[in-house]
Amino acid sequence: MSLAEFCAALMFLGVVAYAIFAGADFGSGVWDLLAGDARKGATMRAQIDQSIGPVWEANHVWLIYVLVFMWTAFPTAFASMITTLFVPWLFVALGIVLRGSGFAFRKFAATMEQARLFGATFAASSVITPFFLGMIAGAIASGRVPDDSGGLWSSWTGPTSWVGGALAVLTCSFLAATFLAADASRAGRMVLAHECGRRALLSGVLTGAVALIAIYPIESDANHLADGLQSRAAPFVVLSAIAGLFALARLRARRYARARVGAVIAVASVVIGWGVAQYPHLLVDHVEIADAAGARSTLIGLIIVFAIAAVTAVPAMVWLFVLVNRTDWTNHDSVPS
Amino acid sequence: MLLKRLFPLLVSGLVGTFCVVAVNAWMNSPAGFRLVNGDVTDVDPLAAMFNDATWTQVAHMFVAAYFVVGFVVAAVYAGGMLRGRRDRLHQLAFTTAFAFATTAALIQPLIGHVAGMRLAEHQPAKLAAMELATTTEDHAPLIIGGVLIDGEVRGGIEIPSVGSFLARGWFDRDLPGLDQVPEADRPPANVVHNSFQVMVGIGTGLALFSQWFWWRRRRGRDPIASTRVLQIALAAGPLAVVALEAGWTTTEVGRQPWIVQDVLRVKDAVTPNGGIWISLSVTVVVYAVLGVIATRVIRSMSRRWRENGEIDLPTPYGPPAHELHEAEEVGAS
Repeated sequence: MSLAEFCAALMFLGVVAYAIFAGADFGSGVWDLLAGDARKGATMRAQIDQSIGPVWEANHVWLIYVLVFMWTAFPTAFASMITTLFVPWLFVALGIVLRGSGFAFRKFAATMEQARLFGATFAASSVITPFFLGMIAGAIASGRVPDDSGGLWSSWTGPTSWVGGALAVLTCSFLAATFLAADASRAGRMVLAHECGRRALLSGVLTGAVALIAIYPIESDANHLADGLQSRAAPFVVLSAIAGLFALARLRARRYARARVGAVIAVASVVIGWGVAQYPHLLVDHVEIADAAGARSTLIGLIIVFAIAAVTAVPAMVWLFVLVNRTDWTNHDSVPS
Repeated sequence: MLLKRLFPLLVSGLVGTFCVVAVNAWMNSPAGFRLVNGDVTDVDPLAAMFNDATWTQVAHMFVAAYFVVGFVVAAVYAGGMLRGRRDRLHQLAFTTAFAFATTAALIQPLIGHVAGMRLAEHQPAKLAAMELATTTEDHAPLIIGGVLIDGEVRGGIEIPSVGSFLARGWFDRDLPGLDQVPEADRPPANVVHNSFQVMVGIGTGLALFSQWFWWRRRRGRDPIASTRVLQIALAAGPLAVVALEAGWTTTEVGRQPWIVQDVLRVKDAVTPNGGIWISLSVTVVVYAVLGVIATRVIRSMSRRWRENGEIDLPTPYGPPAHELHEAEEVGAS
């Protein structure tokens, strides 16, 4: 493995982490949107508030990590990607900003009307952001981002982009519902837990179905990706399918903690599968990892910074998740039970 | 114990300030690479990170952060006291914040001076614009106010020789003028000069005001008792923000037309995409709206908290907790 490939692997680690952690975060917003009116959805929304409140926005660390890695290690490819996919990135940025503010404001809004407005902003941007991120992934995977600047609109509106957007939203919803079911069940809110479990099952089946149907557009639209998924990346696709089925089975059996493990493995391996399938390309069909790599001294510097972050920031984030999952937070009295 | 907990926060604040400002310092004083036929080679990240401008600029911004936060927080409590909330907590909070602001206001001119001393060598165009110097000369005057119209300074107050002294360290040293710089490489001098003077003017004014405040306090007369003093302290908050922004305007506009001094022009670095005005407008509108909403929410929180000690809605939105409890019971059965 060359230095550049090692950097690309570290960068992709961030993509996987973002898909899981921010995925569950975004997905909670999707369920918030679908929770119904103020009265009907109150329990669900309170659970969502409690589940994502402490890690609120912390998960975007991974997006920043990926972007910094990319512009430092692969500056020209980063420039091509941002320039070509300027429009969807703008929507992503807009979504992230509105989502964060909406979530913060609704908790402290003065009136119910205001809270509703801020809540709707939060929930709607929770759909918009992963959707456009998925479209960006689809654009890169289908070879529509050249080593220069591609079509401002055509580059991210191909069939693979639509598949990417839809799968991103569905995956987030599936992850989030599974996480929420596990959280609610651990806190003893069984009615809510089963409701979340039912939604997880539904969105899981839907995600699987869309993934199966997606084979056709990907075959014709993204040759390189399709080839990779059927050869090098095939083990990850199979693993994802098995883990997904395991998660669905555990959801049916109302074993939410176990289901959560299956869901995480399913999502992580499908994302890793995408990365492996498009290897050695950074921008499919146009730029390979080795060609885009920056100066050797910069890559070494980046790896050193990664090591420093690994010993300083990662333990802090792990500790945050440990605290959130402890029973005293789980039984925190903000959720009516 | 508290200090131990605050330590990581302090360290990450310092490192964060350093890293962000070091990048900007590199744009002013690029180092750590060679440009060979338009290609960047011999990259040395550490030399880039610790370029000539890094330490002074980091120090200048780090102290500026304390300056702004100190005066803004003090202004919040000055505003509270003007409305008659003169309890011990208001007085304590005001004094603490004001002490930080005073310290920063005293140190800042010295750091700013040191930061400015490198300009004559590295960024003469920026220095010339800041001082509104049209021709390179020794015993150059300090020009207070004034605008440059058709290459001539109009309306400023000139203090002979002081310009050379302040920018170069002695009266007989050359202060670079705009005539040294090719016309295409000159920054818009009026913006640079006036924003620089706004920064220096506010900084000096607030430094004097805060000195006077403590002097009066030591003389045994509590300055907080005076409405006029509180009004000035209230104005000092926004003024400190203006000083900060004026400082950034000086350094950023002063570097024009370069984005990386003498290496890359802004017009060569800009995106090939059209529609920059659209995305800029969207960004401005979104942040303006969010700014207004944030202000309203925070003000309403403060009011509700004062009135009944309650700021949370019971749930994100929904009926009170006890009703929900019943709803859940019904759902369970």
